[in-house]
Amino acid sequence: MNKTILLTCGAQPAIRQAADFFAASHDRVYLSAPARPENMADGIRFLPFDPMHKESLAQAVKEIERQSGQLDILVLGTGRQPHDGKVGAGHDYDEMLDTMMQNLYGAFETVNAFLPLLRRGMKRIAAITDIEASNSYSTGQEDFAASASKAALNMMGKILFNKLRPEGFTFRWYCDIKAPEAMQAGEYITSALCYDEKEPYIHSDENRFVLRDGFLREIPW
Amino acid sequence: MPKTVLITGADRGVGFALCECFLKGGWQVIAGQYMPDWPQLSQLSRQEPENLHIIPLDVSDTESVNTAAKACAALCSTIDLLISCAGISGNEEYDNMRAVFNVNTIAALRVTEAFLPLMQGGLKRLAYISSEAGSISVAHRQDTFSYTMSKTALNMVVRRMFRTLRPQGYSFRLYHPGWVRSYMMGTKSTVGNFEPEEAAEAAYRQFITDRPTEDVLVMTDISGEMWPY
Repeated sequence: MNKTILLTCGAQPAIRQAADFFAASHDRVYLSAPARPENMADGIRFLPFDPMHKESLAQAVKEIERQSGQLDILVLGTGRQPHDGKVGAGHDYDEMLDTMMQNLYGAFETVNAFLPLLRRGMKRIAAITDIEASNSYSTGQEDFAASASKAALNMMGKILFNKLRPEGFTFRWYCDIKAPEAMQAGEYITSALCYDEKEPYIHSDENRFVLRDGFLREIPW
Repeated sequence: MPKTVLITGADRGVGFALCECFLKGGWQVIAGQYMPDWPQLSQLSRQEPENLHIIPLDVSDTESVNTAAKACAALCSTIDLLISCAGISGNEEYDNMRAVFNVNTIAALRVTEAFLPLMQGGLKRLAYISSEAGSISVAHRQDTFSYTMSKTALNMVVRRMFRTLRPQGYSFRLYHPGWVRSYMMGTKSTVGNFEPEEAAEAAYRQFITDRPTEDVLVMTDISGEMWPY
């Protein structure tokens, strides 16, 4: 048994793929999703919880603590990604708000709830996102709530990095470009990044908050 | 024929100071009023009864925004410049975070969509008050999750609107006003680098001046410097 890993937003294909990777690496894998995913690989434990409800979260924390005692890696995503139209098409703004809150308040609460267990483990927080999370590279014109959630999740990661990196936390933000030949999310999330105390701060990825794709290209925020 | 600007969050702070700048510049100003009990806008209206029009506008409420759009249509045939200035701060409790996303992020789309039909024949310029707080590259904070996330998300909302509307002739301003002694926390802050009037004066110049690089969406600060996302 290697690491204990919790992946949220288990309905996302890239999250499922990462869960499969971790399971194949004999890690202890917990997967959260609104409904039990079909065809889960052996070794993946389905852990349903609702991040919008503190009681449900506390129960999930208790369960992982009971079974594993610690959490090494927490993998975040944006589970709710509704399609909406271009500007001018009209939008359901309440629905957009619900989406952002589910994705962002949910992620925020999840991180906070699992911080004590993460502090007992290898202290890593990761996210699997895509190019539409980048304010610099995004080309989309629709899906406002989903893409705004992804961009804001990046900001959440940066603030967490600022706050927790001095404690020894590390961060892996992976941009899924859906290229089969690229390094996949699971491998990137568990890989070591450049960290040399003698290196200038700016050259060390471990001391910077970066978004990279499977070819290790840095994606600008 | 004077141009017309609509300013949201015009009650006080940068929004109110923008009203003053545009009035001095000879514009017709339609000021979105959220706080009718706050006296500044009414006082200014008495000084500029012909050029300043106050309309009730709560950018967090779709019905209010749609009603304001109808009121605007009765006042003028065209809005040349729409300035989305309303903004709030809040902690990470559920209700606060939702309110912050609603006002700082979603309202940009809500207001733009409501007023877009009035902008077809004018200058076609859309301006949004963002913040360094939304720049992931520069972020140094260790807290204020709601506010920082809301501004990053706003930048993404504006970017998506830009991708659609720029080919239709619209131009955009994404403005970081600097650390302003604002009313963001309810009362006027005693700390900050700029008075609202200074931030508004710089914004006014940037908002009315054409750029050779209108095809690129950039966030600029009070001195015109570009900020990374």
